[in-house]
Amino acid sequence: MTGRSLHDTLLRVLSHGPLRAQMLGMEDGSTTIVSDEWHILSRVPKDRLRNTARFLARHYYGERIARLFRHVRRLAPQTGRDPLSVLDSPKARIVLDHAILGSSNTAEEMASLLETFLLENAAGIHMRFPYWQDLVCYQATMFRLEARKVNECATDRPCRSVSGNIIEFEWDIPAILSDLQSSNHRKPGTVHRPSILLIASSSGGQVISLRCTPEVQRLFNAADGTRTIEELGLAADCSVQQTEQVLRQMKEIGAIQWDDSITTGS
Amino acid sequence: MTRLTLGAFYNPHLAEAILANADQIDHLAMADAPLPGDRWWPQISARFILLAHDYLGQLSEPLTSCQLNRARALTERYRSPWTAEHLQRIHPTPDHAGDKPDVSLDYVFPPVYTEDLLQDYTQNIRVLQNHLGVPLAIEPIPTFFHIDIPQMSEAEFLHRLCEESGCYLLLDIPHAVLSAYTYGRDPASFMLELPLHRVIEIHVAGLAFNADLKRPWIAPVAPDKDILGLAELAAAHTPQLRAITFDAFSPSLRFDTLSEGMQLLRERFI
Repeated sequence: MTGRSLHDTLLRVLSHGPLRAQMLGMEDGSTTIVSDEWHILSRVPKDRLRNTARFLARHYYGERIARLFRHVRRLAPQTGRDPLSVLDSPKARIVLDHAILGSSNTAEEMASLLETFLLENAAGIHMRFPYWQDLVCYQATMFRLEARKVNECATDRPCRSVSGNIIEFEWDIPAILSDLQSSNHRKPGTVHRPSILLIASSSGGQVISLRCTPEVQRLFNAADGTRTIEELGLAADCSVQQTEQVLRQMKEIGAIQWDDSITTGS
Repeated sequence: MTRLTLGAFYNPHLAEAILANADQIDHLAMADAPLPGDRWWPQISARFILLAHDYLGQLSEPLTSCQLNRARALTERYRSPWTAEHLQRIHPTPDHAGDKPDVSLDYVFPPVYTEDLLQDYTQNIRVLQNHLGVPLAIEPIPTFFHIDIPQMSEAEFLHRLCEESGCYLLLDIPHAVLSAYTYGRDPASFMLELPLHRVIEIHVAGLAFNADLKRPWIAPVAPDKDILGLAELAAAHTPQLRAITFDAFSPSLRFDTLSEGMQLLRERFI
C-alpha cells in the first residue's frame, strides 16, 4: 500500500455513495471488499466520512446548479424560487448522501427534484413569465447532459452522442436568455415563437446550446453510426463539404462522436 | 525593499464596484480567467496587479504539455509576479497516462503526507516551475479528518516540499486554523512550525459554522480578530512576504463584505 493508493481509495469512497455504504456497513459483514486501504479507511469515524462526503456532494451540485440554472436564478427575486435552495430539502439530502458524483443517475435525480421545485404550483410564475416551463426545461437539459459520459469509441461513421440532444421549444429561448442577461424587459409576447436548439456537453464539461437549422436537425437525427458522410449529406440535403463542416462543429461541442482521422469509404 | 500589497479576489460580478473603490485594493487574485463578455476586464487588467491563482492541474500527477502551456499563458497574460496552485488531490490516479480521471471532487481536498506523494509533488512542481519562469507558490489545504497511517506531519511535509522543489508557500490562515483544529493543536503554534521563511503570499478570510461538517469551515465572510491576529503573527515571521489577499470568491459575495475584508486588512497592515 502507498499513500497514493490509499488516497485514491479515499477519493473514490468520498465520491461514491454506494461504495461508501459498503465501507460503513463493514462491521455487519455486508461487504466482501478486502484491501489494506479499505481497512485503514474503515477506521475513520463514520460520521466524519459521511459528513465530509455530504459536504463535498453539496458543493459539487451547488456549483452546477449555480452555473447551469443561472438564468432561472436571475429570476429568483421575482419568482421566489432559487434552485439552489433545493439542496436544503430533506429529499436532496437523501440524494446527496447516496450520490455518485458526476454520474448521470445522480444528475437525473437532482434534475427531477429541481423541476418539481420550480414547476409545481407555478401558475403565478407562468402568468408573469409565460416561458417559464421552457426556460426550466432548457436549464434542466443542460444539467442532465453535463453528466452524460461518452463511453463508446468513435468510428468513421458519425453517431449521435449521449451528451447531445435537440429540443424544440415553444418560445425563442436564445432571445429570452439574451434579454435576461441584458436585463431587457421587453414584453414576453415578442419572443413567443418556436426555437429548436442543439444542446451538447463537450469532453471538457462545457455545455453549449446552438440554434438548430432544419439541415443540422436532419443531420443529427440521421447520424446513427451506420451512415457514411456522403449518405448523411444526402439525408440532410447538404453537400459533402457542408456535411463535414457541420459534423466537425457538432463533434467539437460533443453532440456527435466521429473519428474524422479515418478516411471514409463510400 | 519590495512593497507589501493588499488585495482581494477578482469577483467579476463586483467588477464595477471594485473599479470604483480601486484606491482600497492593490492587487487582484485571479481564480478564473475572465469571460469573453466581461466588459470591465480591460480596465481591471490595466488598473491592478494580477496574481494567477487558477486551477492549473493536480500536482501529484505530471501536468500535460497542454496544462503547462496554459499555466504559462495565464501567468504571462496577467503579468503575474508569481503563480499559485493548491497542494490538493481531488481526483484519483488516472488509469492511463493522459486519460481523464473517472471522478473529480471539484473542491479542494488535501493529500495524505506520505513519502511517495512528496516525491511526486516535488517532481511535478519542479517541472511546472521551470515552465512558468516565475516563482510558484503552493497553498496547503485544510485537513478534513485524521487518517491513521504512518505519514509526516503537515509541517514536515511542507518544509521538505519547499526545500526539495524550490517552491514558495501561500499561507492561508483559515486553512492553517482548520488543520490545527483537526490535529487538536493550538493554531498559533501549529502555524509557526510551517516553513514561514518561504511564504510569499498570505490569504485571510473568515470561518463560519458548516452544517454538513458540523464544525467551522471556510466561508466568504470577513475575518474575525483571531484570524487577523494570526495573520499579523505570521506576517512578522515571513521575510519574503509580498502580498496579503482577502480570500473571498463566490457568486454570492457582496461588495460590502469584500470592502469590509479590505478595510480590516488595511487597518492591520498599513
